[in-house]
Amino acid sequence: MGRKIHGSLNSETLPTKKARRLNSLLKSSRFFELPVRLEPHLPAPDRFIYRLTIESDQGTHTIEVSEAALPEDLRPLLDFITQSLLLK
Amino acid sequence: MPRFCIVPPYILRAILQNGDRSQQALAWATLTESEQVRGQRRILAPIATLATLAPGGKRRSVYDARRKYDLPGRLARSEGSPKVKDAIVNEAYDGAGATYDMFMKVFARNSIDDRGMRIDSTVHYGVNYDNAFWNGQQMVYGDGDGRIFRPFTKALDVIGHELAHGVIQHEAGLNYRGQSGALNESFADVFGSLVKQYKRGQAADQADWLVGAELFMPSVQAKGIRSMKEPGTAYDDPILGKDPQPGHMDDYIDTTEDNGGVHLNSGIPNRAFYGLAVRLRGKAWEKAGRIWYMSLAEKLRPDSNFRDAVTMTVTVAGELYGINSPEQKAVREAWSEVGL
Repeated sequence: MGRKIHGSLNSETLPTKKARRLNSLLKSSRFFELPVRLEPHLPAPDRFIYRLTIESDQGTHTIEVSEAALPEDLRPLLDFITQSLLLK
Repeated sequence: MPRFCIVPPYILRAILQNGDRSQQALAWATLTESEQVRGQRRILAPIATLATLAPGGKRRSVYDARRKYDLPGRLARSEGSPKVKDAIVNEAYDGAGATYDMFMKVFARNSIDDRGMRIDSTVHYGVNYDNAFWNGQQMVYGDGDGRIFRPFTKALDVIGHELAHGVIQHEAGLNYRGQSGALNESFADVFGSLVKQYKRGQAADQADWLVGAELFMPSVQAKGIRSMKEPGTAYDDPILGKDPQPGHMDDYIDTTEDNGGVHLNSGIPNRAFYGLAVRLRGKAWEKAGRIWYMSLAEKLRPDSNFRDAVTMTVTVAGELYGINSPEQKAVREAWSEVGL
C-alpha cells in the first residue's frame, strides 16, 4: 500500500540463538548467489519491494526483490528480519 | 448484414428491463448494432447489464491462508453463506460486496472484468503481515502487526482500492511504473474512496478523503495512509516518518524506488479528483466518478501519463456533459490546481 520502512540488524548484538538462526537462514537462502534485482513477470500492484543488504566476512551484497518474484528459500530470511525489527 | 432499427431505443430499454431473457437478448442485439449507439458501450452499460448479468450476480469467496503464504488457502465463506465466527472473514466478504455493489449500481459494471468474474479474497495472509494487495487474480489481506497496523480488512476503502486494481487491469491496463503507475494507484484510491463514500451515503464535502483511516493502532500518529484532499499530511509518526506524498507537479518526485514513485506521485491526480468532486458538489460518484470511470474504461491506455489523463478526462467531461459545460470547466480547473 505504499509505505517505506527501514531497519537494520546486527548479528553481533543479537542473542546467540537468534544470531545462529540468522546465519542458517542466510546459508539456506543462498543469499550471496542471488541476482541484484528480481522482478515479477506481471504487474504486481501494492506488493512489497525489499532491498536487502548483508555485510559479512564474505563481502557485501545487496538485492532488490519484489515480493511477487520472491524465491521460496528467501521468504524465511525476510520473515526473520521483519519479525526481529518489529520486536526491537 | 446491415440491421435497421425501427423500434425506438426507449422501447428497447423497456424490453431489456421487463422482457424475458430471449427478448432481452434480441433487444440488446438491436441496440448495440444500430449506428447511433456504436462506440458508446459504456453509456449503454446501465441497460446492458440487465441483459448480460450472470444469474446470481456477485460471486464472492473468502479463503483463510492460516498465517501462511499459500494462495488461495482454505475456503472460509462463499456467496450466500451465513456469517462465520471470524470477523475478518466477514469484513473481507462484506467489503467485496460493497465494492461490487458500488461498481454495479453506479457504473453498471458487472464485477472486476465486467463479465461477472468471481471475487476471491484471502485473509490471514502471512505472519504479522502489514499489507494488502491484488495479485492479478484475487485480493489478499494481512492481519497487520498489531503494533502499527490493524488487519487490512478494517478499511473498506482499502478493499475497494485492491479490487479497483483488478478493474484497472481489465480496462486501461495502466503500466505499474512511473506516471502510468501513479495513475494506476490514483484510480485505485479514487474508486476505493468512492466505495466508502457510497456505502456511507456521503457527499463530497462530508467525506474525509483519507485512505485507510481505520488501519492504524490508536498509538500511531496517523489519520490514514494517504490523504487525497491534502497529500503529504496523512501521517507524521516517529516510526512511520512523515507522509511524503506531493499534491502538486512542482513537488513531483523523480525516483527509481517504488516502481518510480507510484505511491508517491499518485497524490497529484488524487488531489485533482478531490478538487473536481468538491467543485461539482453532491455525491462524488455521480459526476466526478463517472468522468473518471469513463476515462479509465474508454480512453486511457497502458502508457498514459498525467497529461494524457488531463486530456482524456476533459474530453470525457465534454462528451458526457457538453463542451464548455460547468463540469468540463471544473475538470480543467481541478487539474490546473495541481499544476497540470
